Amino acid sequence: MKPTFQIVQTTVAPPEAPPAHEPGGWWLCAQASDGRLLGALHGLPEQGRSRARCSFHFGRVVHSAPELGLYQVQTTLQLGHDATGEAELSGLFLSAAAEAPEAVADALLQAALARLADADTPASWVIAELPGWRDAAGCSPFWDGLVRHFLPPGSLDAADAAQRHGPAFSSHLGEMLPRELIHAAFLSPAAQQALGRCADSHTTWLSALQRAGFADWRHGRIEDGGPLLAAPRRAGERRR
Amino acid sequence: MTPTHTLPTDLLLRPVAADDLDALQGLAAAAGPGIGSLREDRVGLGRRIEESLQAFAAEDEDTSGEERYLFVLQASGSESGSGSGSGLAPGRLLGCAGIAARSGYGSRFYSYRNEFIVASSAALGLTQRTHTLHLCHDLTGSSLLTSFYIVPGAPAAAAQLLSRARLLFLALHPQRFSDRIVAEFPGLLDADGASPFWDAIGRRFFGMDYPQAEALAGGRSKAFIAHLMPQSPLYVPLLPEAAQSAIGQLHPDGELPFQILIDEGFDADSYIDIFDGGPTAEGRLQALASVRAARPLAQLATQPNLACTRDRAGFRARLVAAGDAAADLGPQPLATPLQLPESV
Repeated sequence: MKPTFQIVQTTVAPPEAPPAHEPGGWWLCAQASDGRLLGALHGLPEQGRSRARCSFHFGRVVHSAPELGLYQVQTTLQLGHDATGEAELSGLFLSAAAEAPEAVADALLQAALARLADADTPASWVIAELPGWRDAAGCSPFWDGLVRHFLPPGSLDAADAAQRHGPAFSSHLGEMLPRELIHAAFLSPAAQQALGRCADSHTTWLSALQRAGFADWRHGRIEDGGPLLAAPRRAGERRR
Repeated sequence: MTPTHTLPTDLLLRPVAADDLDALQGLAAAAGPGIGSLREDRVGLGRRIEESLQAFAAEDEDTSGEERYLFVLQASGSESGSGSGSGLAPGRLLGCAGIAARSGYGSRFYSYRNEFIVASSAALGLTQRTHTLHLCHDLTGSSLLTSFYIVPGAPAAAAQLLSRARLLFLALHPQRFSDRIVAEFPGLLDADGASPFWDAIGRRFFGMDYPQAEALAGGRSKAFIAHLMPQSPLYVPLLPEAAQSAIGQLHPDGELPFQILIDEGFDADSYIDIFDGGPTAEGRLQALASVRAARPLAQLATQPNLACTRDRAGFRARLVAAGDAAADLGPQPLATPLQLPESV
């Protein structure tokens, strides 16, 4: 059965959705025929204009000593602003009442990518961040294994700070984190496993993004290691 | 102050000789694995003696910085001046100590340099100071004090002679050495003999135990190990607590030679060893207490001294009691007070 909803563009944030990462851009809302909000997302043609957008690049370095026959590939994290200037989808929301959330997400993404493909922006990529994995207690192993070591002990509760500062929290947090390359081997095993791993709450969005042509961008969120996915912006033209 | 009547003036510091090999091997065996530059390897020790003989014999214009000098401390059995004998069997070697003219010669000498970075966020109202370790080559080309070992129970003044006579040798032959002097000291090991520092850092990149890696480095340049180490700074808070606690911590075996150099004015807060995190001490030769206090023996005759000959190949040093002219040390021996004043 074909889902019965329509995609509506607006500049007003739906109250049910998480906030957009930056001002500007537009919202797309999937509305049921009775007016209920089934899903939403925010599109931004160019991110990083209002604040520094931080992420960790997940790279590799090879440690090699041919005379000893040793060869090791190490994962590294490099704090940067690599996503600056790229287009972005944020404010990802799916209603728990949506009967076919996959279809809602697919439709929202298709519409958003089409709009971004036409946008007047220098962006080459469309980026989407997903929150990082958390354990059963709701704790982020990435935060515990990396972030907290660079803050005064007991100075900051991640959830409280995120609530207080909103999306800008990650920009403020970036000021506290190491600028130099970090070898993942120095992180706890749990933190290493959390690199680029999506929160269970967002697996529907992860699958939808992958269906829409997004792939792992080898970057992670600085607060919880959640993945950044990217799709070529112009590829959206083919989907129209 | 060391009383004159107990001064072991029969102890002689001299360059190692070819027939010291057996005794030197005995010292190396007793020294254990903590002293990487003194391994119980007869072939290696023989080569070390040969290198030292060449270094002492080389004319200044023939030196390149590759030279490695090795001194031994011997009970001579002949008491000198008004001092006393050590009571040790004549001819017995009590210890050894060396100098490498230029650290990292032909390659690089790696250390971790302690640094601190400060991060601040006005919006969060937070400021945090973070300890970092930077892999560096800062000490490459410095002259390196190596291979210090003295047998347990040796007179305290003997350790002073063994370590500090090297400083007088450096001062007498500055054209052969750097004015920056460096000494590495063994780092902390746990009850099982494992290095917490190595286990947290080196093992992740090198894939073997610390003793294995150190043995490899003992026979080769440390530079090859650094190929496998992170080139970017290490953020100390990310290390296990045991490794953090081991940074700059001294193995008990190193306490005696370490304290002697600290008393000289060496700084041990800036650099650590890349293997075990042990402290690396550094100082400027002319600023070291023994060198600043060095005078012709005749000018220091009222106190016990550590005195040496001025020649290179026939270098000798011994403890000299007050009033002893030390004629056996040649014309105008160079001396420095055995007991250094608080401020020279």
